[in-house]
Amino acid sequence: MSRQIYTSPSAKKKHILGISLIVILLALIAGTVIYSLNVRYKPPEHDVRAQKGLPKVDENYLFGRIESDYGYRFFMAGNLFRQEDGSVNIYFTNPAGSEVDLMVEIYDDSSGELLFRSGLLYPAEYVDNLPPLGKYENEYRDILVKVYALEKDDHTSAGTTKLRLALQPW
Amino acid sequence: MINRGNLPGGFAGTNSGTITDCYCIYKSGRKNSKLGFCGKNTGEIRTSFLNFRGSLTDLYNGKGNSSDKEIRKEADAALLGFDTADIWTYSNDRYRLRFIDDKWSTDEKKPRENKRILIKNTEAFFKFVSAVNDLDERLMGAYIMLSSDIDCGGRLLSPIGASFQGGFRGVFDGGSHTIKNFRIAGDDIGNYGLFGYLRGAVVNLSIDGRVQGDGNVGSLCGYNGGLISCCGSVAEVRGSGDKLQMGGLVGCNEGIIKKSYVAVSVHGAVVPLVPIGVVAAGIALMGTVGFMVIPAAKAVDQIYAPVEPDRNQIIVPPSEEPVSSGDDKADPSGPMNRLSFRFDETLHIDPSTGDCFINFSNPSYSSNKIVIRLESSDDRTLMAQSGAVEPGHGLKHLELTDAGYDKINSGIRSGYIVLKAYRNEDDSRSMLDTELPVHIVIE
Repeated sequence: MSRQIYTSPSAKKKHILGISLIVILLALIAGTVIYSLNVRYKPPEHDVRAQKGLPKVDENYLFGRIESDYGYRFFMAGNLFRQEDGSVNIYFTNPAGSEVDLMVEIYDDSSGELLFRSGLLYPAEYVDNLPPLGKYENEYRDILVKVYALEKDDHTSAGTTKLRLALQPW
Repeated sequence: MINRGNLPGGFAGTNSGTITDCYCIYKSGRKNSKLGFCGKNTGEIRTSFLNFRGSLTDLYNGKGNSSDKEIRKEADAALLGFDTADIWTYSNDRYRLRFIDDKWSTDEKKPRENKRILIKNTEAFFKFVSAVNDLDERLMGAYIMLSSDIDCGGRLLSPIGASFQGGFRGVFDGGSHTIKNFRIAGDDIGNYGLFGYLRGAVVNLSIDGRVQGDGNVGSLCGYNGGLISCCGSVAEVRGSGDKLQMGGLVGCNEGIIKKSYVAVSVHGAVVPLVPIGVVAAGIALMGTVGFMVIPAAKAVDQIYAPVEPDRNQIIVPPSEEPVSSGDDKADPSGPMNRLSFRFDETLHIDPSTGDCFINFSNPSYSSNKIVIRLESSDDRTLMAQSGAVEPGHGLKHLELTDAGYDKINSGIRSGYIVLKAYRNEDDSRSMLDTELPVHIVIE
């Protein structure tokens, strides 16, 4: 091995250390920027199960129109039953001619736990039922149904409607 | 190499002695560096050169003259007096002239075996340095030989024999070993290098260190009045001061230097500054981004888009707030379905600026933030819209939209002020829109 070397190993270490520091710092900055982008508001996604038109409601359900305090309306079943697979039949409908997008959440009124949630429904769309967000006991529950209306252009609030109902077991 | 004094030399700061068969590799970030092989030469320099960023920019031939000849083949080197049989080797494909490595050593000054003092390890080396600087006569004139590489671990050393009286006058034979990771630094004018003032000889030694000082500054030796032979240095050298004579290997040479080289890098000088600057900028940027992130972070789980505050809203002193009747103050125990506000019922519009003067106030006791829209009376075209006016704030004017300008120009002089109220905590609508008719006056 030659005695003639032209680069200082100690300086090279410092150089590598300096470059490593810069790389780490840039990674942190990039991560912070990416994180900041990701924590900005994201509108709810459109519900992939949404169907056009009006649902074919089972005759055992009380399906009706609800007028909100904010000028919009929607349709849904008034009596909610869990199904064998844990889902709930709701027949939630955003009627044609609506000027807002809608979505619905169902909470356990005692514990506040979120049980079911839809995606965004555009006017003239509905969902038959909602799958559970977790494993829950098959039992009677008092529930709080929240219907969110979003302005179509900027997703600001057009009003939240709350209904206290009951979830019957399978 | 950082110099804040006289012009430095890549190899030697000043030379009034003899330099033969030496080279300097200088890597600088500065394109127009005027660095030469020697800052000031009044002695002899033969068969030596400065290699600056791959090019030979300062070449001395065998007669000691400065030459602008290029060396593109071995024959050129021989023509210029470089001994390619015993000293130099030439790499044709890279135009590179280097020492023949297995011939790069000297027996010059070699004493008898029993007259050598061996330095076997770092501790022994430190003791040697201390002893010489304590004017230990036995060591100051001895034949010292390294038997292993010495790693000083970044330790700050004093130059070996910094002054004329204390200068090392023996022979220091590196035994083809390396002394590395040392630091020499000082503020006073003096002789700075691994050896401060050399009166003896240093041979067969490679060094890798950092030297900083004022006066005579060089990586191996501040002042050489003796002999340096078959030595190499990878140096980071810094100097400052009006008396500075700084070179990569030697600050001031009045002795003999043979078959030695120095590779001077400025990387070591720059890197500490760059990360500091980048770190500072990065911290500032992260602080700014973090400041932006924290308010936005709460919006992650929000279903509704946040209603952004109006950038023109102003704080309304409590004395100027709408007077509360008591019923409309926020009731934390239940929903808030009342709204308090105040604004002018006649809107004055300045078409030159598009300002629509409204003088709106949202009292501090409100639990709603309010967005104001001006819609035309005929077809409810949006003429102007604010951002959210928060509790305790007011808004002097709205800004007309393009459609608002069209309506004004078409003669519309009446409209509706529509107030949209949102809950402060989650930006959800708190009640139906409130609509109030207004007159429009063009100023």
